[in-house]
Amino acid sequence: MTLSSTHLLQAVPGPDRSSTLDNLPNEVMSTIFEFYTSDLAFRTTPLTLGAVTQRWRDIAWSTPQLWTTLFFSSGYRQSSLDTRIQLAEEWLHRSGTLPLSIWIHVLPPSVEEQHRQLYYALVEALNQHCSQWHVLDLKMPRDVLSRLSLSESGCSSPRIKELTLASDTHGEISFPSLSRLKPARVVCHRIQLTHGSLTWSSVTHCSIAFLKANRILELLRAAPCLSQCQFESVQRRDIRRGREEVEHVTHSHLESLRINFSYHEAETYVLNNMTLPALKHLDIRAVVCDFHVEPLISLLTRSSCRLRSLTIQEHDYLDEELVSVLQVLPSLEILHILAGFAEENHEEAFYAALIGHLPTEETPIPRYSQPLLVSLRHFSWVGYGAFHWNALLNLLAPLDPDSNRTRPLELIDVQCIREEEDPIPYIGRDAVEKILKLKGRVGFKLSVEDEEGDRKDLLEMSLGLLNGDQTYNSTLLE
Amino acid sequence: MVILITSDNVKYVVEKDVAELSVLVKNMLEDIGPSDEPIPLHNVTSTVFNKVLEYCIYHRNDPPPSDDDEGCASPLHKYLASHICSEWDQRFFDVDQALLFDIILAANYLDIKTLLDDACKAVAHLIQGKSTEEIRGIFNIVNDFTPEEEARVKKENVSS
Repeated sequence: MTLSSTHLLQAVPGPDRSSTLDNLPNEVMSTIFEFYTSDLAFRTTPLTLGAVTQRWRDIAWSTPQLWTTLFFSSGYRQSSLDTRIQLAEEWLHRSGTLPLSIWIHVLPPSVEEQHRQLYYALVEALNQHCSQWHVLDLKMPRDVLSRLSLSESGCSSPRIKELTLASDTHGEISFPSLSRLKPARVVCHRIQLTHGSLTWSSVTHCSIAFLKANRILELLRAAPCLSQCQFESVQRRDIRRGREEVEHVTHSHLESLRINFSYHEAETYVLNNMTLPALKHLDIRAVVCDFHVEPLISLLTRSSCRLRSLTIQEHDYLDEELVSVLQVLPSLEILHILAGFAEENHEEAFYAALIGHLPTEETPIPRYSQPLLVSLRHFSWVGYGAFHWNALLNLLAPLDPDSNRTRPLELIDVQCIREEEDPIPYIGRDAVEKILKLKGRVGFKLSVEDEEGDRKDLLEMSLGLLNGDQTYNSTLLE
Repeated sequence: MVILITSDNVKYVVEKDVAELSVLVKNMLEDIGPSDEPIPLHNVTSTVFNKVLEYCIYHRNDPPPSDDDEGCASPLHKYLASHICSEWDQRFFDVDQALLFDIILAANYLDIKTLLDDACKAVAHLIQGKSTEEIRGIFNIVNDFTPEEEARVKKENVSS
């Protein structure tokens, strides 16, 4: 049915009357104001509404929905800080009892003593609204942050969902008065919460940097619902605790783990003392320390997990070590290799192993009884300098000598990062021809990116060069 | 079919599922039971009701609006919800202010939540990104703050 098909029985024009905004009831104005403040694109603030007329101000001030999101940044502007903090306190007060999403970033180069007291008052105002915390993202000097607490009155059931804490100095921080908080997501930058600072039983996602190795195991024990976590710059364990005996942790929910170690000892300790049967996605790296594969192979074997994606740093692995890891991962579908400033031919063993199950004239008996990476769908490589283009095609070799069955590759993504003085890592003629033949079967994203982030299609450039296009400098092909 | 009569005495025969997008009409129909008796819409003129009806017919098969999670919707969720996404809706609300406010009043009276929300979004869109002075200009609003109040208001907005 359309409007024209409605049966107009009697058309009598109504009296002419013009409505204005003044005719709209307060609750409708509140709804308009809610939509106005919801538009993040315009960085709208209800304070603008409250500056229009008395009526607008009264309506805005008595609509709690307008005041449920607070962004406060000290930036480098310390002037009018007292007024801004007072405004923030009033803002929180106007939110009534609704859940609050609060971002307060107070990390100027230095906080003067007179301002410190104002920030203490701001945290105290936050504490008064602890029962409303829904999203809390605080970047504050350590002494200011440490004043955060659940007020005794009116905070019987905190309902926080996301907690992000960052401070200006590294180290553990204790929040005994926050122990009743049960967030689902926890992110900590620079600081580490001591055991008992939160209730971890509901945490499903966490990201914490500079944790000591033994704290990771404690955290996994305390957070049985954890499904995704990220531990950056894991430190060696705290031996002052005198906990010689390590209680092994089996975590049956953790699906995604991103971890990098700053100490070799930490890596051995953590990997040898946990079992992760649900693990599907692993990103594991060493930062400023050596990486040994035995504990990783031990973890993967012990866990019997069906790992789907693995991200590694190429230079963490010597010679055959990467092959040893991949041999215990027949379910792997996605492999990301971050090559950094890798030495030339460093990955030779890996690419050779991709065809190591096939007999050749030199080696009639194959080196490996089983092919590597039989489930691989997506291969990516990112690094500086040239890529071994011919070796790449080993990924597309048959899985056994007597059939055409190959790895189920859908995408090969190679991104060469080029420094200004380096030659363009053109793809050689043989490799280009093979890639063109396979293009319908497998997706290729082969690119070169300069240090400004300008990315170009390397296959197109290489084709142009081979076809004599003068745009490309043939002297760089060597 | 349902017969509705607007305040200027225009009668409409409307399919029941369309008419019942108005909670007011739906409740009245439930109250009177099966009947051919016309339902009076005291606060809506035919000019405005034509627009309301056009909206209801276009949106008759839309899923019912869902309440957000106890006011816990994320800023992004609220942002997306604050936008009029469909081109048809954008064209529909591209009317003069007086008619837009009349549509809001009618939607509020007839209790048609989706129309009320969409019309409120259209008004909110008029003032988004605008300064206080610009907002006053758009709606021809007179500043009624005393000089002292005005000074305080300015201080708030400079500091924010």
